[in-house]
Amino acid sequence: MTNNYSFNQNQLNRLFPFYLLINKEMKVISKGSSICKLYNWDKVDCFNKFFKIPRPFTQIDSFEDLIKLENQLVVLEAEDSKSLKIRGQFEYLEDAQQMLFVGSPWFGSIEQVRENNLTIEDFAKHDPLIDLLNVLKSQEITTDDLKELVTTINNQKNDLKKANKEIYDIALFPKQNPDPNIRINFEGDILQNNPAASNLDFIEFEGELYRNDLFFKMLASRIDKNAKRWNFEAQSNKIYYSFDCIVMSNEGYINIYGRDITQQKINQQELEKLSLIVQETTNAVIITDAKGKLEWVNKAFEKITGYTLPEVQGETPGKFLQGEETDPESVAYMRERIKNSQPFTCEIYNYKKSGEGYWLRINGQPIFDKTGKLTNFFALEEDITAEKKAQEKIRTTVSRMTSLITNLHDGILLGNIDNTIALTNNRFCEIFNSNMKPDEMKGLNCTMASDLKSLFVDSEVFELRVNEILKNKKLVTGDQLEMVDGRILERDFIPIWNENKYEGHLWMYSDITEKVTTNKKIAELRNFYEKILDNIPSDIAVFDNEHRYLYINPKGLKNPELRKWIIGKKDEDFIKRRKKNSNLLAGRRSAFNEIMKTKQLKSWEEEFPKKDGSSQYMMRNMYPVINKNNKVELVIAYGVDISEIKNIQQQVLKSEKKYRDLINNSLAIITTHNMAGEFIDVNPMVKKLYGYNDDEVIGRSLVDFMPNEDKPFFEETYLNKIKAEKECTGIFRVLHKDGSIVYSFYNNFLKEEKGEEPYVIGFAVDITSRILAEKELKVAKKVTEQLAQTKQNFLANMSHEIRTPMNAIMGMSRQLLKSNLNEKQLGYLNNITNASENLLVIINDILDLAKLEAGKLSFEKIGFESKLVVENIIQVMLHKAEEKGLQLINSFCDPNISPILIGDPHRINQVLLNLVSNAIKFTEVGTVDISCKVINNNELTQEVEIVVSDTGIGMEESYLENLFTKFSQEYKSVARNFGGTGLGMSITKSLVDLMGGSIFVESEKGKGTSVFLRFIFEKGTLQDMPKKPNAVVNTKNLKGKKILVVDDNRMNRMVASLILKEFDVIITEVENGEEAVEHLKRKACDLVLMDLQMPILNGYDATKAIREVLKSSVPILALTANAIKGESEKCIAAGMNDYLSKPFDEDTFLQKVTYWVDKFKPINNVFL
Amino acid sequence: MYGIVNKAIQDLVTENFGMDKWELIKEKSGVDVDFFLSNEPYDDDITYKLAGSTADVIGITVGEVLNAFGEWWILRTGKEKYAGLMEAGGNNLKEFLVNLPLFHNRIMLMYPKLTPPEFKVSNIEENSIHVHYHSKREGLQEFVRGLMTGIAKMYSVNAVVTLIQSRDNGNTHEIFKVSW
Repeated sequence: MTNNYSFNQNQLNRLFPFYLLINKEMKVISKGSSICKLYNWDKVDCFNKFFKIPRPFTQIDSFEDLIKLENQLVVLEAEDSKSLKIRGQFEYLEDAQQMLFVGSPWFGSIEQVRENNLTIEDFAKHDPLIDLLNVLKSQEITTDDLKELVTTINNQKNDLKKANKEIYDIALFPKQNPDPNIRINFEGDILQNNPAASNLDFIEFEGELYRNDLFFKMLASRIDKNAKRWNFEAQSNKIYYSFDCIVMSNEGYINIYGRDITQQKINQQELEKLSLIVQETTNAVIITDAKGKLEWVNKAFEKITGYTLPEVQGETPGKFLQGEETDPESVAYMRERIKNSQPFTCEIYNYKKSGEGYWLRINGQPIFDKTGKLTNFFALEEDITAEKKAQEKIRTTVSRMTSLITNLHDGILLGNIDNTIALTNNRFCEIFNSNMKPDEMKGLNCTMASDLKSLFVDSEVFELRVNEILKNKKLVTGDQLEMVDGRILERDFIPIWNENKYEGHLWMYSDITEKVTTNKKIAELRNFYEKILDNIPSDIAVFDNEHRYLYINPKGLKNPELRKWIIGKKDEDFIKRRKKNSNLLAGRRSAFNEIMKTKQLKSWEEEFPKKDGSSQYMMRNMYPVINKNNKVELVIAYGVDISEIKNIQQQVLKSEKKYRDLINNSLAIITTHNMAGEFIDVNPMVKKLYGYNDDEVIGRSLVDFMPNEDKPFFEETYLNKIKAEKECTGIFRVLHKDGSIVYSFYNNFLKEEKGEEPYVIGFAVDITSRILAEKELKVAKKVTEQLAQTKQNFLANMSHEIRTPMNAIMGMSRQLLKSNLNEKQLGYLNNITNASENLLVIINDILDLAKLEAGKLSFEKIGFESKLVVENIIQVMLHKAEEKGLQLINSFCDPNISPILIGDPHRINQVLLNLVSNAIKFTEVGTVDISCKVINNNELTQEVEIVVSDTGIGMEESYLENLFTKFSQEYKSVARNFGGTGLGMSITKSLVDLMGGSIFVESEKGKGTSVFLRFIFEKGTLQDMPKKPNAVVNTKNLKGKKILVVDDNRMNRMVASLILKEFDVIITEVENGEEAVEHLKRKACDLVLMDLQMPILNGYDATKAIREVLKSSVPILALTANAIKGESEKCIAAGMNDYLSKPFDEDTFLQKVTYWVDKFKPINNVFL
Repeated sequence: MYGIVNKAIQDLVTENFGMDKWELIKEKSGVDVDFFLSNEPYDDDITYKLAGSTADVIGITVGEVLNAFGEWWILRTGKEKYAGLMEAGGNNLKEFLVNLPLFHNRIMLMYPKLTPPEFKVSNIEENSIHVHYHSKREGLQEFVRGLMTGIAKMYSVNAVVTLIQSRDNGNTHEIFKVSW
């Protein structure tokens, strides 16, 4: 059994004070008292426009969407206050078709209750929210406490970290001590050590190597625990340490402080080493007491003298070392120095224990104590016997040298450092015409430049130069000096340096008079020949019989340094040095060998590629010079640059090949023939195009290859012409070998070269296919023109045939509308009217399309009032929109739009009508909007954007691409539901394009469509506006007027008559032109309404007859169903006054009729 | 994210790899928080940094970290701290997953400052279900996968979790297919 519960509003309010009741139209029809406080309900229209459902995220478009949310936890959120959320659930009340929402606010804190103007009273008693928020609050308080606690702990942690860091820094100080610090207990366990101590992995102590830990254990076991402090030395890692050990008895440990004493150790070892050196040195070392008695001698002393230390201890050295040949003066000198406690150095001849004498150099040095008292003498004794022997040898050598110098052929002068003459020779005296002997010159001042200068041609220069050389003290060789008596001297200056000490100099003079004279002559001769060779514009080189360069001229090798270098070298050396191409080597070598063998001249060419891609060509020649013994002594080689000749040769060959290729590969026929028309030469195209081989053509006349009918004209039209005019152009019909005719377009020239027979060079191309194509084209064009005309006629006829009954249907419908009809009849009639209007739109579309395709659509360029365009559309389309319950609005019209623009207002109107009509057609609910704004404003032009937007069915994106395609509609169903041809948008696009505008569409399925039109218009003024015809329809003047209606269609006559009869017009109807003429012959009238296509006599001919035969100027208004362009012009040309196409609008019809009736004042009013 | 999330990562690491690793992870991530308060919201960045650093230190990918964390969240954090709540979620895996959206929406009440993701379910079959995961946060897909695996393990069900749609491929949200 089902229990039905129902609450009244108060109960519901008490249970769910935040409830909402929503009806099927989504209106909130009832709400809880508390939820009222949360929102401004004046704003709430529809539930889904005010609320969103963020969780579960749901788009609420309809009531059904809400139903789907049943039995779910739902969060509501108002559009304008997103921070406030309501949490609850929906329940569908099926009977009432309403949705009930129950829930309560979803607050994050208790404070939000007050912030939203709520109190505890606003919540249902069962609602735990307030309690939950209180729990949350207490939890927050707890969390805050916890946060504080955590912060405190964190601060304490940071303080600890800081303290830790400080301790670490303090500990770092001993840690960074480079000397090891160790703390051990009395058992030798290491309690603590610094990083330097950690490095002591192994310790060497008293010759034993210990591991670190074992060492300290060993140490602890050996120490006296009662000693406060002691010290030991040990080594680790090649470092000597001195360790101070401090016993801390109370603490129970020993601190051990190490100190690096490596340097100290090294010094000590150094000292020991020195002692050893003294002991082991090769020089004798002796130490005496202050009185000169020996205390100590080294091993070397024992070795040199043969005495041992015990033998000599306590003795004076002189006593047993000096002998017969010992210089007493040296002995006395030494004694004197020793006596006065002074250092001394002297050389002395002593005797060994064996009695053998030896030379000794002694360095004695007194040794004093700190108080300055002489304690010892120290002497270093060096055995210099060998040195002494060498000195003797040098002396002998000097003597020999002196003798040599004396007898030299060159004049020699050896000067001392003090510029006195040390040595000179006889030759020197001879050269300078001196009367003195060489020995007499010794010791004289050798700065005698001023005395000798008179002997030299450049006396001043001589003196200056001598002084300069002496000052510079640098080696000078090969100075040449010209003497006044014609002799030429060569002078060398050799400074004598001994261990960086200047010790004098040597002048050497030699008489080179004869040598210089001979050399000069040879040089002049060589110069003469080389000058010739150097200036010859060919490479010239001379080789010896081993192919080594003896000479090369500057043309052969530009670089003078290289020229010098290459003498004596071979080509291989040159190529190696210059890293040149070695390809030439083999050729040159074999040429050289051949010359050596044949003893004949040889010539060959060499090519040198250049960087720019071109080459240099050299003609090389080599010929041998043969001596008396018929042996090749020299080989002379010369090269001539033949690059230019080579280049010319190559260019000629290339050019010839190029022209030959051009002729052979030309697509044109190229021939030459003599003045009789006989072929001299032909290119391969002759075979290709005419089928004849060269031998079938050459020697035969051109005329032989022509069809018989062309042959008689050959001489006159071609041969004679080219002789006279030297050039001839035309078409030859040439017989192909297969019998077909080849049309050849030729351009031939007469060539006359001096001394040669004149000939003709001909160029021709095959134009057969072109000629044939032209013929075909002419035929095709004719067919196309005929087809186009047929199409035009068909369209005109179609248009006419449909419009004629349309006029009747629409006219009659209008008339019927004026009669009294019941609602049902009125409904039927409206359907007829709508159907007719739709049909008319379709016909016009088709007609426009035909015109567009034929390019016959014309556009006006007239001033129009911009605002009227949109207003007009709204005015025309408003009733259609209203019929569908739609709003047709102009939401925006840019105030900046120029009041008058220039363009075609009718076509713009047509475009907009189509767009608005479409918008209305495809919109069921909502609005169609036309907006208009200026998007670009210039001085002379404005770019205007007109947007037609609707809230209709919209289009798929994929369809948008085909929107402007002819006969295109989105789905077949669209055509079925909405009608139309699918031509509208295509025509619209064409019209917009032809007006220079652009159109694009934005659309979303189900949301609507916006069409954007953009046009650039010139700005206009009132002068640009067309003169308006009197638009006022004054139907009063129609009363009693006589109007002749000429139409073969009874219905159409009836339409016109019925309209006009309303205004008491006297109507006469006739069925064709003939009847009309006949009627007018008899009776005058005020206006003729003339159909155009009629049997017996059509409208044009009838008008012609009225104007020309009857001479009547009665206004004739053409009424035609033919809407093809040009029809109105034809009417005016035929003598008619105006034109109106059927089916016509009644107002327009009346306007035209009243205008012409009013205007016409008959000349002949006899009949009035 | 609430502190409980970071705390759970801490528990996961310390239990499996020890305290030292956790300290290393914190040091590498630059997160200087010693104690996460469960009910206190923390910057999301902290959680991402911890996950990234955990991946670095442990030597696995961030995805693997998040996956493991998802399982941990259900099997340890959920069981230990919200055992009653978890049990109220459903009698078996399928029921739990079907109730997941409602379940999750209710949890929001516990954490009012939460920016919660939203779960939806579809394609409910006998042995599979599609779980839709909508979130403003990036890169937590693997965490969600771990959660699903964890739930299956909680009910001792052998389940396969497949990511069949992802934001990485330009979609609005992730879809996981849970099959058992």
